[in-house]
Amino acid sequence: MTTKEKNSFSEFFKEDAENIQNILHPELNDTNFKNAEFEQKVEISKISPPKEISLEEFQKKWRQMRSFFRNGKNDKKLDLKLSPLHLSNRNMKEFILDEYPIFLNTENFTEEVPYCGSLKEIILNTLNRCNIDQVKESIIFIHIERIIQNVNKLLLDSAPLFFRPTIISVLNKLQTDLQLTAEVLNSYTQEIKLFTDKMPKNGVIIPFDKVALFKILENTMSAILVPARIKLANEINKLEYKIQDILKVEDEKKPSSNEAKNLHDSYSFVDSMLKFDELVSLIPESGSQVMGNDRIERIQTVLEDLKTNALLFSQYGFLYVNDLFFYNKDYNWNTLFPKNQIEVFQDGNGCDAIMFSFKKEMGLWAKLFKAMRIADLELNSSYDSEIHDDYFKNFNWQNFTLDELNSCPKFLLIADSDQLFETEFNKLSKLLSEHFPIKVIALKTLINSKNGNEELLGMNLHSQPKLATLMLSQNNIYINQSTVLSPNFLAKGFTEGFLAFSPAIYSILNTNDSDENHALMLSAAIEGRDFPGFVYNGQLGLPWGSRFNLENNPQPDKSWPIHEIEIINHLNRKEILSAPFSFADNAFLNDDYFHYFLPVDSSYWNENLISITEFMKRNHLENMGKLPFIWMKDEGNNIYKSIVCWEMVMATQERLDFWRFLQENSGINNYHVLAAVEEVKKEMKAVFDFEIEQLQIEQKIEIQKIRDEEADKVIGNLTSFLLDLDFTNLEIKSDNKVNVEPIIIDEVPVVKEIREKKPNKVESGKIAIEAYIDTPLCTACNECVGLNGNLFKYNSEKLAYVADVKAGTFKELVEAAEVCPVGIIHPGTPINPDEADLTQLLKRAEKFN
Amino acid sequence: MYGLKSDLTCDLPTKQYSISDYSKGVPRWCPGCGDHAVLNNTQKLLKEKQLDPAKTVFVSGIGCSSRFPHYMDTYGFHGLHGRAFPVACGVKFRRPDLNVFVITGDGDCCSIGAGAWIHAIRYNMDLTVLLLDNEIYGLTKKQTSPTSRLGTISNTTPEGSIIPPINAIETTLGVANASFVAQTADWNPVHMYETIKAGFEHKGFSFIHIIQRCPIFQQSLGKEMATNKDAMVYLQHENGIPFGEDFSQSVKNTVNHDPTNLSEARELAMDRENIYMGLFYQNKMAPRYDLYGSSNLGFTNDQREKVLNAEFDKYAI
Repeated sequence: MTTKEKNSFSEFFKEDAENIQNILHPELNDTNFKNAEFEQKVEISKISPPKEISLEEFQKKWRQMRSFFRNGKNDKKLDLKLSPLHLSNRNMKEFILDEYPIFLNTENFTEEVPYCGSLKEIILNTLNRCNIDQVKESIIFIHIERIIQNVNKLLLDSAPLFFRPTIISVLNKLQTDLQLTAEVLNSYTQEIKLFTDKMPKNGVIIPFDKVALFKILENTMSAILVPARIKLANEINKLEYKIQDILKVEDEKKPSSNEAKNLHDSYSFVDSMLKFDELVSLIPESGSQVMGNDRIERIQTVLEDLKTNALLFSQYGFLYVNDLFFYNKDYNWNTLFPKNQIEVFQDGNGCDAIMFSFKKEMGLWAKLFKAMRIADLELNSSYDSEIHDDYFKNFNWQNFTLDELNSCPKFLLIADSDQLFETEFNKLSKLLSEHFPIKVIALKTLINSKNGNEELLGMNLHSQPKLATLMLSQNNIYINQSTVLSPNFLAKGFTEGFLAFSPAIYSILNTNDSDENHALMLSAAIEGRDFPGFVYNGQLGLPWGSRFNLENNPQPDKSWPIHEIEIINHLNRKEILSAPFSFADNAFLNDDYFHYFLPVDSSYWNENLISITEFMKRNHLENMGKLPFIWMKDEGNNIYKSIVCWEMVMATQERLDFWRFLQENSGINNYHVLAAVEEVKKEMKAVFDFEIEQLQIEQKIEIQKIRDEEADKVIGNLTSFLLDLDFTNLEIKSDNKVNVEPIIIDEVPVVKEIREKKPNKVESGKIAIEAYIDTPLCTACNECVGLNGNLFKYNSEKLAYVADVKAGTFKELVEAAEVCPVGIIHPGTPINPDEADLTQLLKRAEKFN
Repeated sequence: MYGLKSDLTCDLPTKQYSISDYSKGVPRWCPGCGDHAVLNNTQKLLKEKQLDPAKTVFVSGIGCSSRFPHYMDTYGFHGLHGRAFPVACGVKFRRPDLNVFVITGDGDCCSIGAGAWIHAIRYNMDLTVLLLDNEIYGLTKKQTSPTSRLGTISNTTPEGSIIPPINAIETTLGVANASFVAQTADWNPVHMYETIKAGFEHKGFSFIHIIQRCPIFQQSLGKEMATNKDAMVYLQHENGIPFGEDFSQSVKNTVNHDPTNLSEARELAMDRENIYMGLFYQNKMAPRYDLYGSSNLGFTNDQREKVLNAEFDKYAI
């Protein structure tokens, strides 16, 4: 066949294929047909079998790999699209969005309903409180992902959403989405009813983005302030009225009040009985005893000061925002914090400005609280100028009680973490060391070349600036390092820090929602210990370790979080791989670091490739000739090992060292604890060994002693026996036998007695027995249901049960019991005593009851 | 914890199925027949696993039990006598995404279809096979089947059968590449359910022999088997089939048996004294022919054309 002919042949085939297709599926055009074709999904990552490679080629590759490890930098951009093996096959963006719409509780939170959390947490929490028999079989639980996905779709249109109506509509939509049939529908409506009863009453759902953090913050501030302010306002009101009463009484005491007209005004209700003109003449002209002018003046000032509260109460907080964030269009500060005063500051001025403002504002609040205290003293008439004048002269915010301080507005400094670290560090240290209750929020975002931070990349790889840990030197403050990924934890942190007298600093890794896969990058930063969360609460008192908390990290007891991943190995068998997620895995997610990795397929693997975590555990001698790797997979789920170059190993080591520092502080794998445990173990062992030795010696002595004694006895007995031996009667009797026999004889009658008694206890009862079926053992054979479909029915699992005893006769019950192939029908006793042939039927029924 | 889980799938189920989504028509089996129990338990399994009816196929041959696909609201194939296995293998070979069940009887499998049976075992494709064995030909009104006991009186052996019956478990265990062999009985619905479930979860040819009563033609035998709890010995092992909470009280005799031990499994199968219930043998590593066959699936038309042309070109002069 010539080339031309061949071409025409393939052309012919193509036409033919289309014709056949048109005949078979006229409704499908070519493109549709392709889409409709079956695609086999490979969900599990697999190691492809190694290819045959010559030794030379193998050695060449290894030389290249070694050189890469030493010198780093793989300049060529990889053709393969790789990702760390840990990532699920799912489209990550979609997946993360599934996990994180955030729920904010706007009512007073109880212990049952968390204050704030991811929507999934809230749904699971509500389900667990619903008293549903098997939560895992409930439709809401099975389809929780779909619920979250639907909420996410709604969030795209408008945010925030009110929790209750949203959830109700989504649950109703689920019913149509899943095309529930009547038999499931009943239980589902029941489920919805229980769920809506138990779910939080008030709340909103907000999307997971970069302002979510501030929404949580605002909500927490309001939740702290509102109840405190209400309480305070009540107290002030009471005091105001009482003080006004004092002044009124004082007014009455003035001589002018003794005029007949004034008396008439006061006592008009007894007009007809009194003659006011005459009464005036009876009252002494000097009037009653009055207060000193000092006191009246003081009380009047107090009253005025108390009246200022309305003005003060209008402010919830004072926010000092770095100009970097203030002018950023993504944040609309006035909508985010509607009841707060927002000021902008430039680099280096923030701390001064906030301190100045704090002193000024607190002066006003000090005046209010001073007035309240004086009012209290005045009401009890226990104000003593000699003592109190001096005290109230210097009254300032340091004299506030914790309750008082909590009702004051909050002072927040919101700034970029790096900027605080560089230009504002001195002043920040001063501010924190002076213990002003100012809360600092240092924000950080992950950087990459796409968001315009190219020059920072190198520095960022080698270490993260550790603002929060540096502040540990300010011993008694509150420090919290966390992310928006665990909103519940964050809200808890805000509450803890805001309710404390001390300053607080929050170092928060915020998400940057303009980045691709922003939530994934954030979680990888935490998993890879690049930005470990911790809490240090300086107010918690002396046991130093109790101040630290590492809860907000995955697997805090391990060096790296370890995940189990199911893979198919090169022999085509399933295998579970436990792979740690290290900083290097995290770094690989950032495209900018691609040149620190060199992927190698299974043809070149040997025992000299060891995992990076293993590599870091060993010393340099053990690592001779070894290369560190991390697990990777490409888009087709093929697994690679990727060599990590020296520079990246150092960066990973740095993260591990920092993580170990945090662990040691919080008492996890603490050197001193481990050493102490070892010491105690040693001591215990020594004590036990000594005791065992002593016991052994004692035992030996004892054995020897008994042996000697017994030997003496035996020899003695033997001698006496031999001496006394009567050779005429050689029958030897054993003493033991004689002793044992009586015991057996004693026991036997007792056992017999019990056995005999047993049957007597069981009496055949004459009580009415209800008819029933051992439903779980039913084989659904249709025998009984065929006999009487009203008496016997199938349940939703198609297993028979006695539906209505009155719907049939006892005769039918007995007959059904007789025909039931598995004998699980128990006819019981008849309910109708007039039925025919009852005695005979009862006899037949007996063996089934 | 932080979004790096690997246990999530992207496919959200679009429907919550209930038993009625899997059942169709009114079964025409005699009242008291064990087929009802198998049908019920299979539907329950499908519901628990939430299998898509459009992705599930029941293939059967000829016989009472082979009416099974008619009562399932899934795809079905009521095929030729003895040819359930070849059809099922064909389905699985080209559509590995489908859940394929084979329903066969003692005549269909052990008599006319014995050749297909042997090779299906050896192919070890991912099928769940339910052999409903009532030891008699019921559909044709009582003739001796290959599994009828010695001395069975029927229309074909009025004096009582004289040849020893085929033991289906023993036969399956004797064929190369057997991967899952279990036995259960229709009057133990809890145990049967667990067995079918284990068989479905096994990736490979899961052969489940269901001892069954025929209430019409083998009435006395069925009654005796179903009510005599002493006659059954249950195989017990951590990797075996659990008895189920409701049923464990009625288990009287148990024996420990490791399902990876083939020679012991054969010994148990050959024991004529006792009937053993549970998992005889399981080999998760046995090679599967359907995996081999599915390697070229998902080709586009262009790719197919290319491959075919390459084949044709071999004959080009």
